[in-house]
Amino acid sequence: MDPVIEVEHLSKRFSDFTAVDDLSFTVNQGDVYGFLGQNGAGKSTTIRMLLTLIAPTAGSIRIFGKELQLRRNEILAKTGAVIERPDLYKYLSAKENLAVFARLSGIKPTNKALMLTLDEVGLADRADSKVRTFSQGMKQRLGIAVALVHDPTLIILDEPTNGLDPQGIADMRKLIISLSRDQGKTVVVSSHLLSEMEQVASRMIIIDKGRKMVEGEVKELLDPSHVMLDIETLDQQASMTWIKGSRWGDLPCQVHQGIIQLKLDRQDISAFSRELVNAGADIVAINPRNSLEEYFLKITGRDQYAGADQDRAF
Amino acid sequence: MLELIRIELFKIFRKPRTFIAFLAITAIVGLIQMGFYVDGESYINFGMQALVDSFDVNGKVLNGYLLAYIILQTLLVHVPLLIALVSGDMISGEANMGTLRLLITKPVSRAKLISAKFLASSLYTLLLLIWMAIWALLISMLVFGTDDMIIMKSEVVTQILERDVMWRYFAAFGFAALAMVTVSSLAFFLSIFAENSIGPIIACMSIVIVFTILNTLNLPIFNTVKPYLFTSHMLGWKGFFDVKVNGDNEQIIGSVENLGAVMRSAAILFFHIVGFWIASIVVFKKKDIMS
Repeated sequence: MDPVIEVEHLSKRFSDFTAVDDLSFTVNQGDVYGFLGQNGAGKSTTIRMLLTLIAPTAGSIRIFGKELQLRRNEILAKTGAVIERPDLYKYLSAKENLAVFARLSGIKPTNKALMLTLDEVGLADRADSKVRTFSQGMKQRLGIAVALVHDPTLIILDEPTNGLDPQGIADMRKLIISLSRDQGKTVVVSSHLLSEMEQVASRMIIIDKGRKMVEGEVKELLDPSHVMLDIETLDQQASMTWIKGSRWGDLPCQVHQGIIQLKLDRQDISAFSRELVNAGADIVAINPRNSLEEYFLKITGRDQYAGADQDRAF
Repeated sequence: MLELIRIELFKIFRKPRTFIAFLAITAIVGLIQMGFYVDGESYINFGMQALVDSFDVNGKVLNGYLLAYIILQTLLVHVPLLIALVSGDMISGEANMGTLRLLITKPVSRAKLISAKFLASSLYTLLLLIWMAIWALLISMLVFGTDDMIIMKSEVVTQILERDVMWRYFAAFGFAALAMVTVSSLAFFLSIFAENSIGPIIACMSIVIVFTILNTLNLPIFNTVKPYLFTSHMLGWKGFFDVKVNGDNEQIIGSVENLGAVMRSAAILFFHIVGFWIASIVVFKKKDIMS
């Protein structure tokens, strides 16, 4: 795989604060590259440096094999981006916004081409509506259309699921996978939704306090054969006693904030659940805890359970 | 570059606030014209009282040329605010909306982007001046007719022959455009530092007001800096209505009494514009876009 993005020893300091510290990573062609980190970890600063919004204090960025500082326009002509909120011209219509940004990207699209792009993101019927009348989800979809209108080969999405409803999130997931698998595009995506990232990313980097913690293939980094179960029962004490005395008693198990956490082989989940019910436990919920989240907490040294949502944010 | 300017002009003229200035100028000029139409004769007679005692004045003193002069004098003090409304919003407005970061990710150099925005805001200013010229001069000429132009100043009365007036207005509007583009450039430069348009608009107006006050204070400490303040030169357009006379005290057609001073003022304004343009590019190229 040819490298599309090569970042070496990248740093960014704001006065006395170091947002990104000696960061190096490589994104290969066709990757869906996940960018993970807590709020303030340096994800957005790094993405802004990739897009020339912010100048690095030190280090180098090569995209498509060219120095970003020297060949900026050439590189950006083949790059599409959505950065955090999809802010667009509210006083222009969806089609006008798309036309403005397409022309800025160096293409002069026909009306048919604009409508086709809007249709891809489900906004064809609102093409002439002013953006000020759009919901957050519609703005996000228009932002995606703006990022794709000039058919870029590299797409950088910073928190692309922000403001989307569950259907929108699922559509976004499909779109990212399709861009990579069907169209061979390289996608860099940062998101605070770990489960989403786990489902779309082929490679990933975890950064913390501006520094790289780990980088590599998602499949290699995660252990897909094991899963952490969050078990909530009405009689937590009795359930815990039963687990300890059962054949599952030797597995890693603890109680945290009233919820039993048990790590077991993925294929044993149904057998364990059945036996727990047969033992008379009043089960409220059994949730397989996100393995990426598990991994992230381990890597960043924050291995402590902090909530009960399945799609837990940092 | 032309494509970029076209895009910027398209955005400017799709914003409702752009038309505030055009409406305001139309309304103010219309009001002045209506006032003079209804009550202009008595106003002029009052002003001419001392003159008619010594001279025999014939013809239409209150004509389109004189009214355009009065309107220009009144309006050019306030037009900077209307200009700052748009120019002060050029960068800060984009930062506020969040579209600035999207613009920067496009394959257009920052210098080109800033230059296109700068030129678009300057073109907007020129269009505003043309609009003003149409209403203040052409409509006044249609409604009030034309004749020789008599300008009364505190110590002198200047009479400009009708056939010698029109080119002076072209020159005066050209100069006024230069003065207003200077204000536009200042507002544009200030807009780079802000993330909402209120700040640059207020800052621009504050600078214009402070400099104008400094101009009016006849103190030695301020007199040394006055020649360098752009506000000292903004009313230079009036110089085109000061004519030379021959030995018989007759007007020399096509003459300007102190053309050198007018041109010097124009050059100072021009250097201010170029200075703000270059400064805008330099600052913006180094700016981290955090909005």
